[in-house]
Amino acid sequence: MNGLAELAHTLAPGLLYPTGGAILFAMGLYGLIRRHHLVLRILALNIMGSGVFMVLLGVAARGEGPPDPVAQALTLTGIVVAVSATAFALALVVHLTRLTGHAVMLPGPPDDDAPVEDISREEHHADGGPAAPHPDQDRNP
Amino acid sequence: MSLLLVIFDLVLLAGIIGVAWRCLASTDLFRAVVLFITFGLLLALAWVRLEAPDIALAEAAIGAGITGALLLVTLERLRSIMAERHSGRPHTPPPDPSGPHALLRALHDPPPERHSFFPALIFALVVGSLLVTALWHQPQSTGLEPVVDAHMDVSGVDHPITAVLLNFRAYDTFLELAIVLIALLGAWSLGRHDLIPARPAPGPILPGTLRLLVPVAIVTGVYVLWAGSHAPGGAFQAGAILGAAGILLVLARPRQLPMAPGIPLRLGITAGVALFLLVGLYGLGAGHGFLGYADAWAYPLIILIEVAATLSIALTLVALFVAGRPAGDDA
Repeated sequence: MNGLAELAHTLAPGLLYPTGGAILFAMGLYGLIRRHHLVLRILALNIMGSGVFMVLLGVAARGEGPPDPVAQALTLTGIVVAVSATAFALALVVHLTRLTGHAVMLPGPPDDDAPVEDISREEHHADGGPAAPHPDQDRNP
Repeated sequence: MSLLLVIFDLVLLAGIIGVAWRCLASTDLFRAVVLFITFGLLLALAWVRLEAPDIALAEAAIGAGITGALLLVTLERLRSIMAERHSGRPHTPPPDPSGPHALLRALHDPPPERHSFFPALIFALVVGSLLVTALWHQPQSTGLEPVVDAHMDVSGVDHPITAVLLNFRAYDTFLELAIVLIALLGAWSLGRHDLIPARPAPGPILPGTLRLLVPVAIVTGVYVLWAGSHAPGGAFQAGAILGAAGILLVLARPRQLPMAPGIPLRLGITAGVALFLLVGLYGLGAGHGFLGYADAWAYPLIILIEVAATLSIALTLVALFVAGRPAGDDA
């Protein structure tokens, strides 16, 4: 029973949750490198952020007494900033898809010689204007 | 008892990590998004376990709810854009999910290539083990809890987290509201009001539920805002709850969505930052420093800022969901 109590002490939330947060951060990093679809990359970034929040809150809950309110308030701020950044990133993904026809970031260096579509012309159709570009236009410019 | 709690912690962490892994490994984006929402709800449970009910409220409302809605509407937009490009006709109804493969490319990501496996794995392992090592060898400290506790009587509120957010570290909160506003400006700069490619609401269930849910959400939001001065709650959670009610309204009536009036909408969106800035400048002029309050005025000023911030956050979240600046007021 003594050994069990010792184990419970070692696995206190103040150590367990920061470790879990570090694992989440590393997993998000792995996903960010491996996946190519931009929505999945945004999800990976959010998982990394959640790992950071878990580290902060886990460290805040260490020791005796009530948890550290400053770390908790910063996490609250972080969650709201994360949702704003995610919303902006998703708007960018939608816009990119509208311009290029895909939302995938392919591996390898960017192809600087690739023809660029005329963005200024298409922007005016972003609000659901009269004409969408011809489907073949983006593939065989 | 503590052994049971350890088992609970281990099971919860295993669940969180497992769901995150399935989410990142998924080839179907819809599936990944649903798993991410589950991930957020499990996180909220973990925050309760870590004695952070404020964060749990915010995570459930913002992290799981609003982010999930934003992700789902993005998938729907991507699907509709692909369908539009494919057919060459604008505003075609969303295709059947079991349609041709070309349309589904927007919502699928093939499994990653083999050659990036080992570099990514080694990089993630190194970063993860460095983090774990650093966290396990951190010196013991009591944090800032005693300092906050000692100054609670001058903060104007009874809840430590609200005191930190709106008094002790008001500068952070001010900048956070500014970031929320800038994110919306960024989204608006990308184009005008975009039609939400929602399918028509099937049957009477959604409007009926909505009629019951929206008043409850408004009462809950106002209560959470009011409770923030002495219990878990506050402007961000309340803003998220009201924003979620707004998103539900937008979703349920895509056909007869009234045009948002430009000037009142913009005033509401900037109210939080503007009022915060005014109060901060007033404090500077009155000799309390930027964002400092006179002790007697702390409570009414905090409540005032919180009400404005709630309004701004709720409106901004709905506007971010709709995406694109309102139609009909081009310069």
